[in-house]
Amino acid sequence: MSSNMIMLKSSDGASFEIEEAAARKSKIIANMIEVECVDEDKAIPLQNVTGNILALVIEYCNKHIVDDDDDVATEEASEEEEEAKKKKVDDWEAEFMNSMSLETMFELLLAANYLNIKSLIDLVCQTIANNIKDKTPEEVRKIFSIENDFTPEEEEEIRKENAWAFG
Amino acid sequence: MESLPHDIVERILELVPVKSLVRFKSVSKQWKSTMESQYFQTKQLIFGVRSVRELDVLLVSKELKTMVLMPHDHHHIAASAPRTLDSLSSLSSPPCYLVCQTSCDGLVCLNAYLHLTIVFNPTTRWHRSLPLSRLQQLTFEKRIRESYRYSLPKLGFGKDKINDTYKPVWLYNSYEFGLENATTCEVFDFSTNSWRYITSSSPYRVIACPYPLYLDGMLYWLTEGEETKVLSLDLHTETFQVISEALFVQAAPKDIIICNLNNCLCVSIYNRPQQDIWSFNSESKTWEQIYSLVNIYFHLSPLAILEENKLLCYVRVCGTRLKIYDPKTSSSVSVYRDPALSEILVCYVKSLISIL
Repeated sequence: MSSNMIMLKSSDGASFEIEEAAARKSKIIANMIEVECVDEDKAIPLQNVTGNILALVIEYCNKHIVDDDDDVATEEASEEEEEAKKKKVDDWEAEFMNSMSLETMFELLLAANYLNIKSLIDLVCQTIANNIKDKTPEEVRKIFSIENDFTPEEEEEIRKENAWAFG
Repeated sequence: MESLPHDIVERILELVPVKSLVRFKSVSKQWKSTMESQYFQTKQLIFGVRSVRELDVLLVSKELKTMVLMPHDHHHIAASAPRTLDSLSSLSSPPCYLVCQTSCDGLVCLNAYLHLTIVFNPTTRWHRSLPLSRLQQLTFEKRIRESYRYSLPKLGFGKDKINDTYKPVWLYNSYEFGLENATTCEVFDFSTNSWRYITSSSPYRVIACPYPLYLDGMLYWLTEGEETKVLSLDLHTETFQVISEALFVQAAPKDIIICNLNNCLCVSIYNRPQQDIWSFNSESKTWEQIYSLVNIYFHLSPLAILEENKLLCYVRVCGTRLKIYDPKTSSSVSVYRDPALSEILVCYVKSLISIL
Protein backbone atom coordinates (compact mmCIF):
# COMPACT_ATOMS: atom_id res chain seq x y z
CA MET A 1 0.00 0.00 0.00
CA SER A 2 1.71 3.14 -1.09
CA SER A 3 0.37 6.42 0.15
CA ASN A 4 0.25 9.59 -1.85
CA MET A 5 3.49 11.46 -2.02
CA ILE A 6 3.75 15.18 -2.63
CA MET A 7 6.68 17.46 -3.32
CA LEU A 8 7.69 20.53 -1.35
CA LYS A 9 10.20 23.07 -2.55
CA SER A 10 12.15 25.31 -0.20
CA SER A 11 12.99 28.98 -0.77
CA ASP A 12 16.55 28.02 -1.73
CA GLY A 13 15.36 25.53 -4.32
CA ALA A 14 15.72 22.22 -2.51
CA SER A 15 12.97 19.66 -3.18
CA PHE A 16 11.58 17.23 -0.64
CA GLU A 17 9.24 14.32 -1.08
CA ILE A 18 6.78 13.78 1.76
CA GLU A 19 3.78 11.58 2.41
CA GLU A 20 0.56 13.44 2.05
CA ALA A 21 -0.56 12.34 5.53
CA ALA A 22 2.56 13.91 7.02
CA ALA A 23 2.25 17.08 4.96
CA ARG A 24 -1.32 17.47 6.17
CA LYS A 25 0.06 18.33 9.62
CA SER A 26 0.46 21.74 8.05
CA LYS A 27 -2.93 23.43 7.87
CA ILE A 28 -1.72 25.50 4.93
CA ILE A 29 -0.67 22.49 2.86
CA ALA A 30 -3.79 20.55 3.93
CA ASN A 31 -5.85 23.47 2.62
CA MET A 32 -3.98 23.48 -0.66
CA ILE A 33 -4.67 19.77 -1.05
CA GLU A 34 -8.37 20.26 -0.22
CA VAL A 35 -8.88 22.89 -2.89
CA GLU A 36 -6.82 20.84 -5.31
CA CYS A 37 -4.27 23.41 -6.17
CA VAL A 38 -1.61 20.75 -5.81
CA ASP A 39 -0.41 19.55 -9.15
CA GLU A 40 0.83 15.98 -8.87
CA ASP A 41 4.02 16.61 -10.81
CA LYS A 42 4.75 20.02 -9.42
CA ALA A 43 6.38 20.82 -6.12
CA ILE A 44 4.61 23.19 -3.72
CA PRO A 45 6.86 26.23 -3.39
CA LEU A 46 7.38 27.48 0.17
CA GLN A 47 8.99 30.88 -0.19
CA ASN A 48 9.50 31.48 3.50
CA VAL A 49 11.24 28.26 4.45
CA THR A 50 14.86 27.35 3.72
CA GLY A 51 15.92 23.79 2.90
CA ASN A 52 17.63 23.00 6.20
CA ILE A 53 14.59 24.17 8.17
CA LEU A 54 12.14 22.40 5.87
CA ALA A 55 14.11 19.20 6.46
CA LEU A 56 13.47 19.59 10.20
CA VAL A 57 9.78 20.31 9.66
CA ILE A 58 9.47 17.17 7.52
CA GLU A 59 11.32 15.09 10.09
CA TYR A 60 8.84 16.30 12.71
CA CYS A 61 5.78 15.68 10.54
CA ASN A 62 6.88 12.17 9.59
CA LYS A 63 7.29 11.29 13.24
CA HIS A 64 3.81 12.56 14.08
CA ILE A 65 1.69 11.10 11.26
CA VAL A 66 0.13 8.51 13.55
CA ASP A 67 -1.02 11.02 16.18
CA ASP A 68 -3.87 12.20 14.05
CA ASP A 69 -5.50 8.80 14.07
CA ASP A 70 -5.49 8.83 17.86
CA ASP A 71 -9.23 8.72 18.21
CA VAL A 72 -9.48 5.53 16.24
CA ALA A 73 -6.37 3.90 17.57
CA THR A 74 -6.84 4.52 21.28
CA GLU A 75 -10.08 2.58 21.55
CA GLU A 76 -8.27 -0.63 22.28
CA ALA A 77 -4.99 0.55 23.65
CA SER A 78 -4.71 0.27 27.40
CA GLU A 79 -3.83 3.21 29.57
CA GLU A 80 -0.32 1.87 30.05
CA GLU A 81 0.24 1.44 26.35
CA GLU A 82 -1.00 4.97 25.84
CA GLU A 83 1.40 6.26 28.44
CA ALA A 84 4.31 4.33 26.95
CA LYS A 85 3.48 5.70 23.54
CA LYS A 86 3.26 9.23 24.82
CA LYS A 87 6.57 8.86 26.63
CA LYS A 88 8.19 7.64 23.42
CA VAL A 89 6.97 10.70 21.55
CA ASP A 90 8.08 13.00 24.40
CA ASP A 91 11.53 11.43 24.39
CA TRP A 92 11.80 11.80 20.66
CA GLU A 93 10.72 15.46 20.84
CA ALA A 94 13.21 16.18 23.62
CA GLU A 95 15.98 14.63 21.55
CA PHE A 96 14.82 16.48 18.43
CA MET A 97 14.92 19.87 20.18
CA ASN A 98 17.99 19.12 22.24
CA SER A 99 20.46 19.32 19.40
CA MET A 100 19.09 22.64 18.14
CA SER A 101 20.56 26.12 18.58
CA LEU A 102 18.28 28.96 19.63
CA GLU A 103 18.79 30.47 16.21
CA THR A 104 17.53 27.33 14.50
CA MET A 105 14.60 27.20 16.95
CA PHE A 106 13.57 30.71 15.95
CA GLU A 107 13.68 29.82 12.26
CA LEU A 108 11.80 26.59 12.90
CA LEU A 109 9.17 28.51 14.87
CA LEU A 110 8.69 30.99 12.03
CA ALA A 111 8.36 28.12 9.57
CA ALA A 112 5.88 26.26 11.80
CA ASN A 113 3.92 29.47 12.16
CA TYR A 114 3.91 30.08 8.41
CA LEU A 115 2.91 26.49 7.68
CA ASN A 116 0.45 26.54 10.59
CA ILE A 117 1.52 23.36 12.40
CA LYS A 118 0.11 23.94 15.86
CA SER A 119 1.77 21.09 17.75
CA LEU A 120 5.19 22.08 16.40
CA ILE A 121 4.61 25.73 17.36
CA ASP A 122 3.73 24.61 20.88
CA LEU A 123 6.78 22.37 21.11
CA VAL A 124 9.23 25.04 19.96
CA CYS A 125 7.61 27.75 22.11
CA GLN A 126 7.85 25.53 25.18
CA THR A 127 11.50 24.74 24.46
CA ILE A 128 12.37 28.40 24.02
CA ALA A 129 10.39 29.27 27.18
CA ASN A 130 12.38 26.70 29.18
CA ASN A 131 15.55 28.04 27.67
CA ILE A 132 15.00 31.67 28.61
CA LYS A 133 13.27 31.38 31.95
CA ASP A 134 16.44 31.64 34.02
CA LYS A 135 18.08 34.32 31.90
CA THR A 136 18.64 37.97 32.80
CA PRO A 137 16.79 40.75 30.97
CA GLU A 138 20.08 41.66 29.21
CA GLU A 139 20.49 38.13 27.89
CA VAL A 140 16.87 38.03 26.79
CA ARG A 141 17.24 41.29 24.85
CA LYS A 142 20.19 39.81 23.02
CA ILE A 143 18.34 36.59 22.19
CA PHE A 144 15.29 38.41 20.83
CA SER A 145 17.27 41.29 19.25
CA ILE A 146 15.38 43.81 21.34
CA GLU A 147 16.65 47.30 22.01
CA ASN A 148 16.38 48.55 25.56
CA ASP A 149 14.09 51.58 25.28
CA PHE A 150 14.02 52.38 29.00
CA THR A 151 16.06 55.18 30.49
CA PRO A 152 18.46 53.92 33.18
CA GLU A 153 16.16 55.55 35.78
CA GLU A 154 13.06 53.78 34.46
CA GLU A 155 14.86 50.46 34.39
CA GLU A 156 16.10 50.94 37.93
CA GLU A 157 12.54 51.74 39.02
CA ILE A 158 11.21 48.44 37.61
CA ARG A 159 14.03 46.53 39.25
CA LYS A 160 13.33 48.17 42.57
CA GLU A 161 9.60 47.53 42.42
CA ASN A 162 10.16 43.87 41.63
CA ALA A 163 13.40 43.23 43.48
CA TRP A 164 12.21 39.78 44.62
CA ALA A 165 12.09 38.54 41.01
CA PHE A 166 15.69 39.55 40.36
CA GLY A 167 17.08 37.58 43.33
CA MET B 1 19.40 36.24 14.87
CA GLU B 2 16.04 36.43 13.16
CA SER B 3 13.59 38.53 15.13
CA LEU B 4 10.16 37.11 15.85
CA PRO B 5 6.86 38.96 15.41
CA HIS B 6 5.51 40.04 18.78
CA ASP B 7 2.43 37.79 18.63
CA ILE B 8 4.74 34.77 18.46
CA VAL B 9 6.90 36.19 21.25
CA GLU B 10 3.74 36.37 23.37
CA ARG B 11 3.02 32.71 22.71
CA ILE B 12 6.46 31.89 24.11
CA LEU B 13 6.01 34.18 27.11
CA GLU B 14 2.70 32.54 28.02
CA LEU B 15 4.76 29.46 28.85
CA VAL B 16 7.32 31.24 31.03
CA PRO B 17 6.94 31.12 34.84
CA VAL B 18 5.58 34.22 36.55
CA LYS B 19 8.77 35.09 38.41
CA SER B 20 10.74 35.24 35.16
CA LEU B 21 8.01 37.30 33.53
CA VAL B 22 8.15 39.89 36.29
CA ARG B 23 11.91 40.14 35.73
CA PHE B 24 11.39 40.43 31.97
CA LYS B 25 9.23 43.53 32.45
CA SER B 26 12.54 45.39 32.26
CA VAL B 27 13.39 44.01 28.80
CA SER B 28 11.51 46.71 26.89
CA LYS B 29 8.44 48.92 27.01
CA GLN B 30 6.59 46.56 24.70
CA TRP B 31 7.35 43.56 26.88
CA LYS B 32 6.31 45.46 29.98
CA SER B 33 2.99 46.44 28.49
CA THR B 34 2.44 42.82 27.43
CA MET B 35 2.95 41.62 31.03
CA GLU B 36 0.55 44.29 32.25
CA SER B 37 -2.22 43.63 29.76
CA GLN B 38 -5.24 41.78 31.04
CA TYR B 39 -5.38 39.75 27.85
CA PHE B 40 -1.90 38.35 28.37
CA GLN B 41 -2.35 37.87 32.12
CA THR B 42 -5.42 35.75 31.49
CA LYS B 43 -3.75 33.63 28.81
CA GLN B 44 -0.69 33.11 30.99
CA LEU B 45 -2.95 32.03 33.86
CA ILE B 46 -4.57 29.33 31.74
CA PHE B 47 -1.18 27.81 30.90
CA GLY B 48 0.03 28.22 34.46
CA VAL B 49 -2.90 26.32 35.90
CA ARG B 50 -2.54 23.48 33.43
CA SER B 51 1.17 22.90 33.72
CA VAL B 52 1.93 23.16 37.41
CA ARG B 53 1.88 20.13 39.69
CA GLU B 54 3.07 22.02 42.74
CA LEU B 55 0.71 23.51 45.23
CA ASP B 56 1.31 27.08 46.34
CA VAL B 57 0.10 27.99 49.78
CA LEU B 58 -0.18 31.39 51.43
CA LEU B 59 0.17 31.38 55.21
CA VAL B 60 -1.68 34.26 56.82
CA SER B 61 -1.20 35.45 60.38
CA LYS B 62 0.39 38.67 61.58
CA GLU B 63 2.83 38.02 58.77
CA LEU B 64 2.36 36.76 55.26
CA LYS B 65 4.39 33.80 54.10
CA THR B 66 4.39 31.56 51.08
CA MET B 67 5.20 27.89 50.84
CA VAL B 68 5.35 25.38 48.00
CA LEU B 69 4.20 21.79 48.32
CA MET B 70 5.82 19.44 45.85
CA PRO B 71 4.52 15.94 45.25
CA HIS B 72 7.68 13.82 45.33
CA ASP B 73 6.34 10.53 44.15
CA HIS B 74 3.08 8.77 44.83
CA HIS B 75 3.61 8.67 48.55
CA HIS B 76 5.36 11.79 49.67
CA ILE B 77 4.87 15.46 49.55
CA ALA B 78 7.63 17.86 50.44
CA ALA B 79 6.97 21.31 51.85
CA SER B 80 9.45 24.10 51.21
CA ALA B 81 10.46 26.28 54.14
CA PRO B 82 7.98 29.17 54.32
CA ARG B 83 9.28 32.48 52.98
CA THR B 84 8.16 35.64 54.67
CA LEU B 85 6.91 38.29 52.28
CA ASP B 86 7.91 41.88 52.82
CA SER B 87 5.16 43.73 54.58
CA LEU B 88 2.77 45.35 52.18
CA SER B 89 4.74 48.55 52.08
CA SER B 90 2.02 51.16 52.08
CA LEU B 91 0.30 49.69 55.12
CA SER B 92 1.12 49.58 58.75
CA SER B 93 1.46 46.01 59.82
CA PRO B 94 -1.70 44.82 61.63
CA PRO B 95 -1.77 42.47 64.62
CA CYS B 96 -3.27 39.78 62.48
CA TYR B 97 -4.65 39.38 59.00
CA LEU B 98 -7.73 37.42 58.09
CA VAL B 99 -8.18 36.09 54.60
CA CYS B 100 -10.96 34.76 52.39
CA GLN B 101 -10.32 31.06 52.37
CA THR B 102 -10.64 30.71 48.63
CA SER B 103 -8.33 32.45 46.18
CA CYS B 104 -9.37 33.39 42.67
CA ASP B 105 -6.97 33.47 39.69
CA GLY B 106 -4.00 33.85 42.03
CA LEU B 107 -5.55 36.71 44.01
CA VAL B 108 -6.49 36.61 47.67
CA CYS B 109 -8.52 39.05 49.70
CA LEU B 110 -7.11 40.00 53.09
CA ASN B 111 -8.71 41.98 55.85
CA ALA B 112 -7.58 43.16 59.25
CA TYR B 113 -8.95 45.42 61.96
CA LEU B 114 -12.22 46.89 60.95
CA HIS B 115 -10.88 49.13 58.27
CA LEU B 116 -8.32 47.24 56.24
CA THR B 117 -9.30 45.27 53.15
CA ILE B 118 -6.67 44.39 50.58
CA VAL B 119 -6.71 42.40 47.38
CA PHE B 120 -3.30 40.81 47.09
CA ASN B 121 -1.37 38.73 44.57
CA PRO B 122 1.14 36.70 46.61
CA THR B 123 3.17 35.87 43.51
CA THR B 124 3.84 39.37 42.22
CA ARG B 125 3.17 41.16 45.57
CA TRP B 126 0.74 43.41 43.73
CA HIS B 127 -1.94 44.71 46.08
CA ARG B 128 -4.74 47.21 46.24
CA SER B 129 -6.51 48.56 49.31
CA LEU B 130 -10.26 48.95 49.31
CA PRO B 131 -12.20 51.75 50.99
CA LEU B 132 -14.56 51.04 53.89
CA SER B 133 -17.78 49.21 53.17
CA ARG B 134 -21.04 50.31 54.80
CA LEU B 135 -20.85 47.20 57.00
CA GLN B 136 -17.46 48.18 58.31
CA GLN B 137 -18.66 51.70 59.07
CA LEU B 138 -21.79 50.42 60.81
CA THR B 139 -19.83 47.97 62.89
CA PHE B 140 -17.36 50.66 63.77
CA GLU B 141 -20.12 53.02 64.97
CA LYS B 142 -21.86 50.24 66.85
CA ARG B 143 -18.67 49.35 68.66
CA ILE B 144 -18.25 52.86 69.92
CA ARG B 145 -21.91 53.39 70.81
CA GLU B 146 -22.86 50.09 72.35
CA SER B 147 -19.51 48.48 72.93
CA TYR B 148 -20.70 46.00 70.30
CA ARG B 149 -18.47 42.97 70.60
CA TYR B 150 -19.41 40.91 67.62
CA SER B 151 -16.77 40.45 65.00
CA LEU B 152 -17.38 41.13 61.35
CA PRO B 153 -19.02 38.54 59.16
CA LYS B 154 -16.63 36.84 56.76
CA LEU B 155 -15.70 38.47 53.49
CA GLY B 156 -16.22 36.61 50.21
CA PHE B 157 -14.14 37.10 47.09
CA GLY B 158 -14.71 35.82 43.58
CA LYS B 159 -15.13 36.60 39.94
CA ASP B 160 -17.93 37.32 37.50
CA LYS B 161 -16.71 34.97 34.80
CA ILE B 162 -18.86 36.49 32.06
CA ASN B 163 -17.53 40.03 32.43
CA ASP B 164 -14.14 39.02 33.85
CA THR B 165 -14.53 41.27 36.88
CA TYR B 166 -13.47 40.46 40.42
CA LYS B 167 -15.89 41.04 43.29
CA PRO B 168 -15.29 41.20 47.02
CA VAL B 169 -18.65 40.58 48.73
CA TRP B 170 -19.99 41.17 52.24
CA LEU B 171 -23.20 39.30 52.99
CA TYR B 172 -24.59 39.87 56.49
CA ASN B 173 -27.76 39.50 58.48
CA SER B 174 -29.73 42.75 58.42
CA TYR B 175 -31.50 42.62 61.79
CA GLU B 176 -28.43 43.40 63.90
CA PHE B 177 -27.99 46.65 62.03
CA GLY B 178 -31.65 47.59 61.88
CA LEU B 179 -31.77 47.06 58.14
CA GLU B 180 -34.53 45.56 56.02
CA ASN B 181 -34.78 42.04 54.56
CA ALA B 182 -33.13 38.95 55.96
CA THR B 183 -29.71 39.87 54.64
CA THR B 184 -27.86 42.81 53.20
CA CYS B 185 -25.24 42.40 50.54
CA GLU B 186 -22.49 44.77 49.47
CA VAL B 187 -20.32 44.24 46.42
CA PHE B 188 -17.13 46.11 45.64
CA ASP B 189 -16.82 47.59 42.17
CA PHE B 190 -13.18 48.03 41.13
CA SER B 191 -14.04 50.32 38.22
CA THR B 192 -15.64 52.94 40.48
CA ASN B 193 -13.54 52.04 43.53
CA SER B 194 -16.63 51.88 45.72
CA TRP B 195 -18.99 49.49 47.47
CA ARG B 196 -22.59 49.22 46.35
CA TYR B 197 -25.62 47.38 47.68
CA ILE B 198 -27.12 44.71 45.53
CA THR B 199 -30.88 44.70 45.38
CA SER B 200 -31.61 41.02 45.73
CA SER B 201 -31.56 39.51 49.16
CA SER B 202 -31.21 36.03 50.53
CA PRO B 203 -34.55 34.54 51.67
CA TYR B 204 -32.90 33.33 54.88
CA ARG B 205 -30.40 34.63 57.39
CA VAL B 206 -26.91 33.23 56.90
CA ILE B 207 -24.53 31.55 59.31
CA ALA B 208 -21.75 34.05 59.79
CA CYS B 209 -19.18 31.57 61.03
CA PRO B 210 -17.83 29.57 58.11
CA TYR B 211 -16.05 31.50 55.39
CA PRO B 212 -18.07 31.80 52.21
CA LEU B 213 -16.69 29.66 49.42
CA TYR B 214 -15.86 30.82 45.91
CA LEU B 215 -16.23 28.26 43.15
CA ASP B 216 -16.63 28.76 39.43
CA GLY B 217 -18.39 32.13 39.31
CA MET B 218 -20.44 31.59 42.47
CA LEU B 219 -20.12 32.33 46.16
CA TYR B 220 -21.70 29.98 48.70
CA TRP B 221 -23.00 30.40 52.25
CA LEU B 222 -25.04 28.24 54.61
CA THR B 223 -28.32 29.52 55.99
CA GLU B 224 -29.42 29.74 59.61
CA GLY B 225 -32.48 27.96 60.94
CA GLU B 226 -33.66 24.47 61.65
CA GLU B 227 -32.93 23.20 58.20
CA THR B 228 -29.58 24.35 56.94
CA LYS B 229 -29.61 25.22 53.27
CA VAL B 230 -26.89 26.10 50.81
CA LEU B 231 -27.23 29.56 49.39
CA SER B 232 -25.46 30.66 46.23
CA LEU B 233 -24.79 34.09 44.80
CA ASP B 234 -24.21 34.19 41.06
CA LEU B 235 -21.51 36.85 40.70
CA HIS B 236 -22.63 37.73 37.19
CA THR B 237 -26.39 38.12 37.66
CA GLU B 238 -26.01 39.04 41.36
CA THR B 239 -28.96 36.92 42.36
CA PHE B 240 -29.29 34.54 45.27
CA GLN B 241 -30.61 31.04 45.02
CA VAL B 242 -31.13 28.27 47.51
CA ILE B 243 -29.52 25.37 45.73
CA SER B 244 -30.02 22.54 48.17
CA GLU B 245 -30.91 21.53 51.64
CA ALA B 246 -28.03 20.26 53.66
CA LEU B 247 -29.86 18.05 56.10
CA PHE B 248 -26.68 16.49 57.39
CA VAL B 249 -25.63 19.77 58.93
CA GLN B 250 -26.53 19.41 62.57
CA ALA B 251 -23.64 21.09 64.18
CA ALA B 252 -22.73 24.30 65.91
CA PRO B 253 -21.80 26.97 63.36
CA LYS B 254 -18.18 26.91 64.49
CA ASP B 255 -17.95 23.22 63.54
CA ILE B 256 -18.85 23.78 59.91
CA ILE B 257 -16.45 24.50 57.06
CA ILE B 258 -17.46 25.02 53.44
CA CYS B 259 -14.64 24.13 51.07
CA ASN B 260 -13.67 23.31 47.52
CA LEU B 261 -12.29 19.83 46.90
CA ASN B 262 -11.65 18.74 43.30
CA ASN B 263 -13.75 21.68 42.11
CA CYS B 264 -16.80 20.51 44.00
CA LEU B 265 -18.67 22.32 46.71
CA CYS B 266 -18.02 20.45 49.95
CA VAL B 267 -19.12 20.83 53.54
CA SER B 268 -17.10 19.51 56.44
CA ILE B 269 -18.85 18.83 59.75
CA TYR B 270 -16.98 18.19 62.96
CA ASN B 271 -18.53 16.09 65.66
CA ARG B 272 -15.75 15.12 67.98
CA PRO B 273 -14.01 12.73 67.47
CA GLN B 274 -15.38 12.37 63.97
CA GLN B 275 -15.24 14.59 60.91
CA ASP B 276 -17.46 14.00 57.88
CA ILE B 277 -17.01 15.65 54.54
CA TRP B 278 -19.86 15.82 52.05
CA SER B 279 -19.55 16.69 48.40
CA PHE B 280 -22.35 18.22 46.35
CA ASN B 281 -23.21 16.79 42.95
CA SER B 282 -24.60 19.78 41.09
CA GLU B 283 -26.29 17.67 38.44
CA SER B 284 -28.26 15.33 40.64
CA LYS B 285 -28.48 17.93 43.44
CA THR B 286 -27.49 15.32 45.97
CA TRP B 287 -24.87 15.11 48.67
CA GLU B 288 -22.37 12.31 48.88
CA GLN B 289 -20.22 11.62 51.88
CA ILE B 290 -16.65 11.46 50.59
CA TYR B 291 -14.71 11.23 53.85
CA SER B 292 -15.42 10.11 57.34
CA LEU B 293 -12.39 10.84 59.45
CA VAL B 294 -12.15 9.16 62.83
CA ASN B 295 -10.15 9.93 65.95
CA ILE B 296 -9.91 13.56 65.05
CA TYR B 297 -9.41 15.86 67.99
CA PHE B 298 -9.53 19.17 66.17
CA HIS B 299 -11.56 20.11 63.14
CA LEU B 300 -9.22 19.83 60.14
CA SER B 301 -9.66 22.47 57.46
CA PRO B 302 -9.55 20.64 54.11
CA LEU B 303 -7.34 22.19 51.42
CA ALA B 304 -7.04 19.66 48.61
CA ILE B 305 -7.38 16.03 47.61
CA LEU B 306 -4.04 14.48 46.67
CA GLU B 307 -3.15 11.23 44.98
CA GLU B 308 -4.72 8.05 46.34
CA ASN B 309 -7.54 10.09 47.80
CA LYS B 310 -5.34 11.49 50.55
CA LEU B 311 -6.61 14.69 52.08
CA LEU B 312 -4.41 17.73 52.58
CA CYS B 313 -5.68 19.73 55.51
CA TYR B 314 -4.53 21.92 58.34
CA VAL B 315 -5.41 22.74 61.88
CA ARG B 316 -4.91 25.94 63.86
CA VAL B 317 -4.70 24.87 67.45
CA CYS B 318 -1.52 25.60 69.37
CA GLY B 319 0.12 26.95 66.26
CA THR B 320 -0.36 25.60 62.78
CA ARG B 321 -0.06 22.06 61.52
CA LEU B 322 -0.35 21.04 57.90
CA LYS B 323 -1.27 17.38 57.58
CA ILE B 324 -2.01 14.70 55.07
CA TYR B 325 -4.78 12.32 56.09
CA ASP B 326 -4.79 8.88 54.55
CA PRO B 327 -8.28 7.36 54.55
CA LYS B 328 -6.82 3.88 53.99
CA THR B 329 -5.00 3.83 57.29
CA SER B 330 -7.15 6.43 59.07
CA SER B 331 -4.01 8.22 60.11
CA SER B 332 -2.30 11.44 59.27
CA VAL B 333 1.25 12.69 58.88
CA SER B 334 2.45 16.19 59.52
CA VAL B 335 4.04 18.03 56.58
CA TYR B 336 4.67 21.33 58.25
CA ARG B 337 4.32 22.76 61.70
CA ASP B 338 4.71 26.14 63.31
CA PRO B 339 4.07 25.97 67.04
CA ALA B 340 4.14 29.74 67.49
CA LEU B 341 1.81 31.14 64.85
CA SER B 342 -1.81 30.38 64.23
CA GLU B 343 -2.00 30.72 60.49
CA ILE B 344 -4.81 30.55 57.97
CA LEU B 345 -3.75 28.65 54.85
CA VAL B 346 -4.97 29.42 51.37
CA CYS B 347 -4.02 27.60 48.19
CA TYR B 348 -3.48 29.80 45.15
CA VAL B 349 -2.11 29.60 41.63
CA LYS B 350 0.85 31.67 40.52
CA SER B 351 -0.44 34.42 38.25
CA LEU B 352 0.41 37.88 36.96
CA ILE B 353 -3.14 39.10 37.54
CA SER B 354 -3.65 42.58 38.90
CA ILE B 355 -6.75 44.75 38.94
CA LEU B 356 -6.17 48.21 37.57
